[in-house]
Amino acid sequence: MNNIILSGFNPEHGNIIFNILSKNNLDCRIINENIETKLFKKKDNFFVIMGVYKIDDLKQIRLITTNASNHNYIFGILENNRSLNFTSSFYSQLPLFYLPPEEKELKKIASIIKQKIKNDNSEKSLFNGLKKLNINFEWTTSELKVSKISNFLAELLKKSGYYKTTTEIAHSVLAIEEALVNSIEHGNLELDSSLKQNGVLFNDKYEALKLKRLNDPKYKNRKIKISITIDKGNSSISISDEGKGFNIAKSDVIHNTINKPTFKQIMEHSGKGISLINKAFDDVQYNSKGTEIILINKKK
Amino acid sequence: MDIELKKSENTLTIVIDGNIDSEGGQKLSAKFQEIAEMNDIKNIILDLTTVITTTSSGIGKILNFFKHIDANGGSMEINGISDSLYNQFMEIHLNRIFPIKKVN
Repeated sequence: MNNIILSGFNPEHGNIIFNILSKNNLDCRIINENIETKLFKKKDNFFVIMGVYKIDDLKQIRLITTNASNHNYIFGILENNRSLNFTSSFYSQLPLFYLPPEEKELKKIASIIKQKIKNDNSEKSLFNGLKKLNINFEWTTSELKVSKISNFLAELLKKSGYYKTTTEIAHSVLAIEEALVNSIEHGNLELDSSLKQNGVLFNDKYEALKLKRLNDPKYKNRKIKISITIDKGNSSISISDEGKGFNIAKSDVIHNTINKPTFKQIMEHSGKGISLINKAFDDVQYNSKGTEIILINKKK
Repeated sequence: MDIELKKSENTLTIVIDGNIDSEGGQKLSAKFQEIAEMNDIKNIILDLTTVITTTSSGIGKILNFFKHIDANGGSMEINGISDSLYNQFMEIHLNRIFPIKKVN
């Protein structure tokens, strides 16, 4: 498959890179016109090798890597421009190489690309044909690592074929984070979001009470239970806490009014997370007590 | 998530690079506090070109920061935002609070 794209190199550098990669059994093609539009449309994961010669090239790279983040990017940087080298390193998930291109360096890049293709294929084959998966976790409130567990759960959904683009994964990671933070802060720690609306810059009251309760055995030892199930192409993530229960009716009011909120409602802090959760999943359900949220994705 | 500051007279451009998750939100809070203590800054430009999404807590922090800037007679706008984050912000009508411009 022709899955390597070269773009933004001057003709001399472009030809050298093309020839070296071809010699290493990697098929590539050169696309210089409308590269961003072409990449935005492609849903498969391509290796995109781009030339960075001047500061303006970085602006284009920023735009492309953000809006077509499903691809793997490698940058060829003009060797004598240190600032380009420094800034580009933020955008690249794979090693950089320098221009003018050298065979030794490009051989390394070729072997990294081959290894990545091999790893991706082996991960895919592991999940191919997976019929059923069910994992249960339990943590105490003070020990749950919200970001790590959110990334892990979203990654499982991705590997099981739910998400194709990095944007979809990013939304689901943060929606899971949102649900976990709600269970911890408003569930087990019983923190009222009205404390956030005191008009000061840094929610000192809310943060101070959160810290206090995270050290109070009455609150910190309460459990958060998480379960992820993938079955016949459907998936669900259940998160439950040991708090007093979330007022579901109130959440509906917030979500419904958010379509035409007042200036005050926009400025207030609650309700925005629920809208993010609803957007990232096909269906969101709660138990009647309001201590469990279930994030559901249906077979596509 | 990384935060870069660019100062020009009494305007400060804050470039946020990466998604604002719960850890990023704490970083953002600390940076906003630092900026709030700079007395010579009146106008704030937020560049969110490479932020795909944010938690509600991240939005809350941006709103609280806006409140602080506004209360001190300054202005704030977003200049540069990814399509995905733009949609997220428009859904909750943040454009009614401060200007949101898509392109740099």
